[in-house]
Amino acid sequence: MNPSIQLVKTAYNQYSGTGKILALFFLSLFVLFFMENEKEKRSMFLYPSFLLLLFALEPVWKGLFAQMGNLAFNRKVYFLLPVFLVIGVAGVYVIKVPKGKWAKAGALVMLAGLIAISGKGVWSQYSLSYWENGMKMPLEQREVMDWILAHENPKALLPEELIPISNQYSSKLHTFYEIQEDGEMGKLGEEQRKVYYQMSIQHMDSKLLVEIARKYGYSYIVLKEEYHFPKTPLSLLKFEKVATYGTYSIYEDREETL
Amino acid sequence: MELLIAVPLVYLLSYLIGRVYTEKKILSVLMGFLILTACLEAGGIIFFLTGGRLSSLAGIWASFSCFLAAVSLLLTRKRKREEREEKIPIFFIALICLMILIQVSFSVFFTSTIEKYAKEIIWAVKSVEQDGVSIVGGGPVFGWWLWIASLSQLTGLHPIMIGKGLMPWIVIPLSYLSYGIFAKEMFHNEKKNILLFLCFIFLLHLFAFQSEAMGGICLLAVPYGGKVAYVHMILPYLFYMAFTFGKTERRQKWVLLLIVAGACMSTGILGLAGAALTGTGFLIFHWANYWQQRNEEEEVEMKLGKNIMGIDRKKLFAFLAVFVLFMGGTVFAILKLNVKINTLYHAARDLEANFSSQVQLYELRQGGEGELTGYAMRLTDGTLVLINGGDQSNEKYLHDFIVERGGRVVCWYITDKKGGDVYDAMMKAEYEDITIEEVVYGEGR
Repeated sequence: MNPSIQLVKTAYNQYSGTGKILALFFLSLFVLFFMENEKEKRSMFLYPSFLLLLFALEPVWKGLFAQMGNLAFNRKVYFLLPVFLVIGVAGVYVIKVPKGKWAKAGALVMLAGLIAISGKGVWSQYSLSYWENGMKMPLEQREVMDWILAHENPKALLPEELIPISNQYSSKLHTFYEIQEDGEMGKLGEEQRKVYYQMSIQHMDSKLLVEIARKYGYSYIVLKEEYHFPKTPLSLLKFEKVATYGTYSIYEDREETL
Repeated sequence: MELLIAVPLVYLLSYLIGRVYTEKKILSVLMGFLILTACLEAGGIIFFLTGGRLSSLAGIWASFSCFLAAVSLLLTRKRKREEREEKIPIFFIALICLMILIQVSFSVFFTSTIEKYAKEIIWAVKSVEQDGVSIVGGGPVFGWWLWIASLSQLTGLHPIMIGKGLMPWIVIPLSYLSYGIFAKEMFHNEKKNILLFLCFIFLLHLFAFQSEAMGGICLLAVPYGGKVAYVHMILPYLFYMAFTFGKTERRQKWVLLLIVAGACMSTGILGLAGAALTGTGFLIFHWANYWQQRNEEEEVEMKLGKNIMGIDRKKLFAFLAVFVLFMGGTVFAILKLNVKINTLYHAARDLEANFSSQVQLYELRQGGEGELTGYAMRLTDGTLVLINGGDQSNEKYLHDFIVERGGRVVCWYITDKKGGDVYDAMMKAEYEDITIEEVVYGEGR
């Protein structure tokens, strides 16, 4: 398949997910086409929505422009679609069709149910609140970062889940790499990818990590004790455990002092 | 404490500034916010080019906003008293407030796992800590993050608290305002329809999360994002603007366009592109509508053959043609995929058949029928690979098994004591009709 078309297809599949919300959107456009009688509303709402849909989905156009951007760019083009607006307006028009209060109420309940089963439900993506420290992060993670920041040379190799939080917490804490947008790791250098990989597996190659840490002057390595089991204990590589906060342990390079 | 001051202050400033450009109270809040955004974007670009400090930008922006607010207040007093709008029912207001409160609570008190890469907050943190505008990689050309950075600078709160704690209180109500203003124009101020529409919007916010890829425009998860502001605040307002552009005073039109363009630009390249594309659509269809009105007759006749179900025949056929084209493309793609899947299925089936006809797997049981004691594989060349095989009492069975299948064992894996015992027994028996080329012992031996 043409790589551009493949890019377009992949971006669409990633955006549509369950596919039901987009199906509702298409259906709503269909409904509005037949139910919206006012010329002004058709020309200022319905037809521009169709134009945006054409721009987002039309394969020839997308194929020509797909190569201008990466997968994330092509996926974000779908954000332009007025999905909520169209579905909301179509829903109101559909409710108008049945006569009588109970019929309308029934139609409302059905439409609400249809919307409810079409998506995944945003709360399935929520974890518990960490508002106790006002920063919306687990206290132990904040304590780890505060500890490192309180010391000279705040450069640390961190577990993968700490990277985005650390970047948001302070730019003074150097983390060797940043998590890329939409999970794309293509912009990372070779050694950055090695560190990313090692910190995301259980039995990490601690010798490699220590070698890279010393090469770039990173004095600290943070491990998650319940998850990380280095092949070579860090203590043998002259990284000594200096602090523990919850499940995280901070190891400091003691090569010069020992 | 600073939050309690910052939230109402932003609303008050937005409202007062907006009053300069609109006669409608409720629209003033949204307009004011867009004006503040456009000013921040303009200021951000200037400071980016001149290498200025964030503290200076935030201070100038705050004082400029206060100045505009003061001017707006004076102009508002001088304006004639506007006609009172129809009272909004209390139930209406209560329900909308409840929906907003539920959404804000979700956003403020829960942490989403979608929002991994919060680039607006990351840039704001860099800018605040280094007190610079030009140090940020993305630059303030698309400077929605300047809201977070400036408010953080002014209030002293960490950008995370501003982005995830304060911004939901601003963006979510404003998005409902924007949807409400759109609905007001769309449904000709019919309160029930507006309320119904907002209920659907509320349900969509809660349930329409369909993939992680769309997490970037999920208002509950990323209320501080530029893309979210464009999709849920500016886009409905753009449609509202299209409906009312004809009624807007001429001098205000260009100011409005400039403000909205500045606000769109701040939300990111997607916001700018989206606004340009949507605006193009408005222009195309506005002109098409205009020329059609000039050319067609004043009354549309319901004649046989000209209209089908009250819809103009040409339009219906045009829509059906486009629909068929898309559906045809979809069906074609599905058929092609189906062919691919079938081909893959047949290939896999052939491979499986090929594999099973060449390599045979046997279970080794005690005495041939009892407890499972190991496995044997017969390779394509007729040789055997054994794994364990039971204890020494299984020696006769194992000998017959090997002889029946060619008598040659290329490798025998022994991983438990029993397997080792049966091998020792077979070696003691010194069978001449079988050959065992290699034995590999595992850790259990």
